[in-house]
Amino acid sequence: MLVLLFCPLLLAAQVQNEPEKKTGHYNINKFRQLYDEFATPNMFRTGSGAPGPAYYQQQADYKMDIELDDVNARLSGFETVTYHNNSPDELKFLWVQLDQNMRAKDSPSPLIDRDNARSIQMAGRFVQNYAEEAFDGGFNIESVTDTDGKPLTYMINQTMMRIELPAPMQKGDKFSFQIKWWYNINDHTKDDGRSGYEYFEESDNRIYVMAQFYPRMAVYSDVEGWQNSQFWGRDEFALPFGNFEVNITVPADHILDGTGRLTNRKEVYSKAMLDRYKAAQKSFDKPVIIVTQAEAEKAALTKSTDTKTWKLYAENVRDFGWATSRMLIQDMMAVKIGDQNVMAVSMYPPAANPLWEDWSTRTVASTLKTYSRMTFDYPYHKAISVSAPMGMEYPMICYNYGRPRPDGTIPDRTKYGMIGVIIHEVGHNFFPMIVNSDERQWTWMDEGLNTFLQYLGEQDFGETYPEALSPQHKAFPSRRGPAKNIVRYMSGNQDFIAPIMSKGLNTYQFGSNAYGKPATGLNILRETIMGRELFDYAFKEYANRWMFKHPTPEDFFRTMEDASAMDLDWFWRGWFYSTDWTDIGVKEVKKYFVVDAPKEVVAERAKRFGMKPKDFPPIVYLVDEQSDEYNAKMQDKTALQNAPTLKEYLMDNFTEEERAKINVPKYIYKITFNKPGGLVMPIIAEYTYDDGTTERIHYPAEIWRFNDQQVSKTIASDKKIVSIQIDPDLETADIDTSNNSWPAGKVEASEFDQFQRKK
Amino acid sequence: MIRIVILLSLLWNVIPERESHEFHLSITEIEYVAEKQEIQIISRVFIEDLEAMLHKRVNENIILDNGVDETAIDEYLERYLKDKLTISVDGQELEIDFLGKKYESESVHLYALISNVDRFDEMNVTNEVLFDAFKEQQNIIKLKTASVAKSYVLIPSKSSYLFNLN
Repeated sequence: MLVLLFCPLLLAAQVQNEPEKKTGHYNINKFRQLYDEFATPNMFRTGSGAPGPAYYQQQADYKMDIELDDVNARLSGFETVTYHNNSPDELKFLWVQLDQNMRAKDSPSPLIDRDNARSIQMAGRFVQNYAEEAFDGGFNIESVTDTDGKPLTYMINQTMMRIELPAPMQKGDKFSFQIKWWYNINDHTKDDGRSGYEYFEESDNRIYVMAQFYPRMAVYSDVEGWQNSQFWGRDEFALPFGNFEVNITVPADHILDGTGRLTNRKEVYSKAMLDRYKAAQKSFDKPVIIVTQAEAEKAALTKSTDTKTWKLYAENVRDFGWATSRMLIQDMMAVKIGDQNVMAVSMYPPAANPLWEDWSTRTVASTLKTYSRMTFDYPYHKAISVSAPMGMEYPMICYNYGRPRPDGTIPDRTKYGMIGVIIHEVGHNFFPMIVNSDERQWTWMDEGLNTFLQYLGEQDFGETYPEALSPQHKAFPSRRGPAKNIVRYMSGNQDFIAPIMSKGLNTYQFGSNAYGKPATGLNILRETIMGRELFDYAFKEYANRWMFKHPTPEDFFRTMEDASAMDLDWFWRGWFYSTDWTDIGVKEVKKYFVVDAPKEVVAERAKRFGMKPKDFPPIVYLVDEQSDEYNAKMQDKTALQNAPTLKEYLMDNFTEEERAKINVPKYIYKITFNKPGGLVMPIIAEYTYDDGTTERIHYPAEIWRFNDQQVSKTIASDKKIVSIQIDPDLETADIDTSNNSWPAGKVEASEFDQFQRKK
Repeated sequence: MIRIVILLSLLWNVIPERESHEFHLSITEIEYVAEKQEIQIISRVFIEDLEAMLHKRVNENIILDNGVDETAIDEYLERYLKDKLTISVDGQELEIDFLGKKYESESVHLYALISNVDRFDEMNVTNEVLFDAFKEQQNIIKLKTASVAKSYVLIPSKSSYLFNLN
């Protein structure tokens, strides 16, 4: 036995400082499991994060006849909903969502918005808020009946309608009912709507991008019962899967596309369009124009009074969206996903060209490939991108912003913004359209996961289409993803930060909370904590387990651990359940030399163990360079010269060959890291030695499990450490890098200094 | 849904309320670095807002951050900033040097420096940047010294503020 001793002064100091006896406490360790936060696993959802043997989900099928009155911008419909009760529960009533009621004159939505009665207001906004007659929006429900036309009792509470069932539904029961409705379509460019029309004054035409246009079934589940939390405008949707048979009647000179297969293409397409469509089905490298710009421009000059009915059929979708106008150009190309050919489709007005013709459909195709690689093969037969000044997603169709300026120029950020938003919204097909999480409650589950994949989609796109990038960019300039980009948010005022695990409606700084921070968290898991191989496998497993189902946050958290053998409860707790931030620093570095222990120390030690000094095993002693016991001679000698005892010990216990392999380090460093931030994170420490070499050690986050404030590591080395840098690549979103280096003088320059230095 | 995100990334932690296009906001950080006797200024504005101002005041065709040389724009911005941003300490107006700008996602950071500044008791900041372009523009000014961190929101009807350090 060889005993290594630190200077006894240290021990004495510890004895003196022993604190007063504290009171007891519950388990507050940051590595404790999330038993309190997580729901108890059950037959519906298992502890592994997979659907359980009793997992069920409801189904709602729709048959709808819709008619667009383009002259009055009015939409009317008659729908038959068939609701399947697959739950073990008896249902006495159904809840139906009337999202349009958010725009009703008596909607309370504006009442919960804070407005500060600013002393300065934009005139237009002022008129809209206080002077203009309110828009007459909201559903007009003409009838709610059973399939025999017999009225059903119903009650409307804001955006939710409760329909009384004639007889309670038991497990396995189906019930069909019919609703006749109409509403005035909103101008989404004025009220920031998620659907509606955009008006083009020059040609007196509208482009309609429609969604939430029909009364939709609410979700009934094992977790929430009925998810009938009101739609206030910001938090998105929770919807059951079902099959949709939808006939939409629009002016005869319109073109239209939407969720589902077009079942009467021959009736609504011209001969030329059909021929081009056939060509597009075989074109895998570039889009084929189905409706040309010249045709769209010509159509916009007149208005047909005839109508045409477009018939769409979709299976296993959670929602339905469609877009129509007489001034739309359309192009398509085929993209191979697994063994299926998917059509990538774009629809846009002439004003969106040449930007859209060049990049929209290619972006759709590239996105489907990236997301399919990271999750599962895109299961639908098409994905459409429609030009509209918003960014909004529906199954197989999404509405995206970004058009050239009126003078025809295309700023870089318009181009990148448009490609980025298309990737994002097409990506939403995977989360939440197919991996169908509850957006009303958990915005991050689709926005966070999707924003994470968006980054990969953007990088892939830049590699596939380098000609889309501007000369000064070598890669797609993504905004979100790198950990350092979330630092400003996470270091901000705690009064205006909510944990990610908050209902979307109630979060501050929605974008950073529900998009940026969760996406960054996943990026940190993938790049720094789990590694790509483990992360990608687990992420894919989650997507496949919950494809066409309704996952909860726990299902995600549990699956990521189940498929990777990594206990990540500490990460979920810190990053998702709290508003803590990362801040890790080097607090102190001590250098020791190995020497023989002084006689009095040996005597004192031996006494403690009731032994005589001569019987005590050989001990060596570490002398702090800063202490009185240090003398400069130690610097020039080797460790064995400084500590003859050590040399003798080696001679006595090892053969010559063995001794040749033993490298006795000259320096012992004790490095103390501290953690002013509440978040637990790995310590990534880069040591630079006096010979210019560097060594990077990744201490797993578990290093903090005994002490959340500070932790020490010992480095034994023949080489002198000249500097230490924590998190050199800015992987952990450390909000204060001024304490990340040793010697402390090597402080990260401030933003201002960095700018000045560059100049 | 993505629209909200882009705007929000710029609002940082200051404005918790509405995410909307109607928001025209800038944040100007003014830091007194005593050891260097310097006042370092970083002003962050939306690229689109700055561009809109340039369209109104200079010409319609300017596009910022498009990979082309912006020397002429920088010269104009220097004049503009000197005109719209004034700082005085203890009653004495200071000369501001415009150092340049940097684009970061949807915003542009403008850097300026004031040299040879002795310790002071009060600082008056007038920031009318973009008030000419948007009536609802709000300019947040933040003052930081070794001992003090204060901020204030300026609007066109109240475009300057006196920070008292004592």
